Amino acid sequence: MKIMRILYLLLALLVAGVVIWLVVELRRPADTDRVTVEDAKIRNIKRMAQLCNTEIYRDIPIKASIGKRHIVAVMSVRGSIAFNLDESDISLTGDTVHIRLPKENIEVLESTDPGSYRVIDTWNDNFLGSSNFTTSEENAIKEKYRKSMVADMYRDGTVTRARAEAVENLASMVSATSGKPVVVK
Amino acid sequence: MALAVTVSMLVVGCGRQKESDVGTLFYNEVRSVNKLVLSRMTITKIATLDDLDISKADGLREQMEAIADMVKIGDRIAAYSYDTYLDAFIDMSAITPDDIIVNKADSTVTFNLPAIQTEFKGRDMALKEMHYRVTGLRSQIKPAERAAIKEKCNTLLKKEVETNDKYRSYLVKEAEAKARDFFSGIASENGYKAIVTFDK
Repeated sequence: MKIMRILYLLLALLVAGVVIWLVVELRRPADTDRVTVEDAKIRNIKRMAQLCNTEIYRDIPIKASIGKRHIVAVMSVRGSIAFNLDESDISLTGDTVHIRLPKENIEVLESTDPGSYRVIDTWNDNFLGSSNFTTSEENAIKEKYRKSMVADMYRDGTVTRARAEAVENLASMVSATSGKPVVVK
Repeated sequence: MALAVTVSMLVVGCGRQKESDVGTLFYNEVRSVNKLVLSRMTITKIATLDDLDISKADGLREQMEAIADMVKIGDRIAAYSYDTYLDAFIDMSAITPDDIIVNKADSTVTFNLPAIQTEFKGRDMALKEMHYRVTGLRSQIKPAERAAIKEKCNTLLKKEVETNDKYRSYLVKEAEAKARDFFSGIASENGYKAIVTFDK
């Protein structure tokens, strides 16, 4: 009788252990087991001569709504302001050096640092409504924030400072080396 | 004169400044750099999402999930892709006046440039949805799932680039060719021939 009790107890402990293990194992997050990733493919390689003088690193909090659906996320981005030297033009007219600085090239990309896009929450105001966002909806939201960041860079003077820095450096350098008046456009 | 301008551009660095909004909730930094970006590689990553195949399931957990997938009504299949950009550049602020040697006797200019560096510039914010088929009683693919897919792609891509030298070697080769074209063009305007070397 006593042996049977011990066996029951051991059996109960074993079942409890298996149940706990299964619960822990099956509740584990990271639902990427169903994801198959192909090897990386090089799409193209482009040559360029871009002088980059400003880089912006920013965590953007995203909070957007479509109807009664809402999404909250954080996106880490990396922006840069550069000038294409292949398009710049330096010429000498009489005694004056003319420099045309090309239009700035502003680029804002999602960072490749780990966890650069984190979806914190999605919900619907209606109790049984879907809280899902399609890929195109999500892309449109991100694009809106990208444009907003570029607008911010113009508004807060980041682009003006970058351009002024480029113009000033170019002008002083050319002036110092040529000894001639310099006009930068 | 263009040569003199270029030489000056090379030796006068922009300096480095940092303006960090320390104390704000989210990270925000504007950094002054002085990089000449010479080439860019666009790398595409494609991922597919599908039910687990029991014959390929690894371990008890995956086997149970594969069985659960089999009894679910409907299909849940999608394919996504996006591009990542790898840049090659030289740090102009590392160049000193000694690195530019003008030899009038044989009409040559030697540019001893710093080693070409590479870095991940970033990736597309948008995911391209190449295929999407969710039928029956299956749940739609949610933003958090797509974020996890992108994260997995990103991790694997970085591993591939780190372990396979072909990515960086192609890019550096192109960057060196562009640097030679660029500096030769400037030197030739003044009747000089450019000799471009890179630190290793």
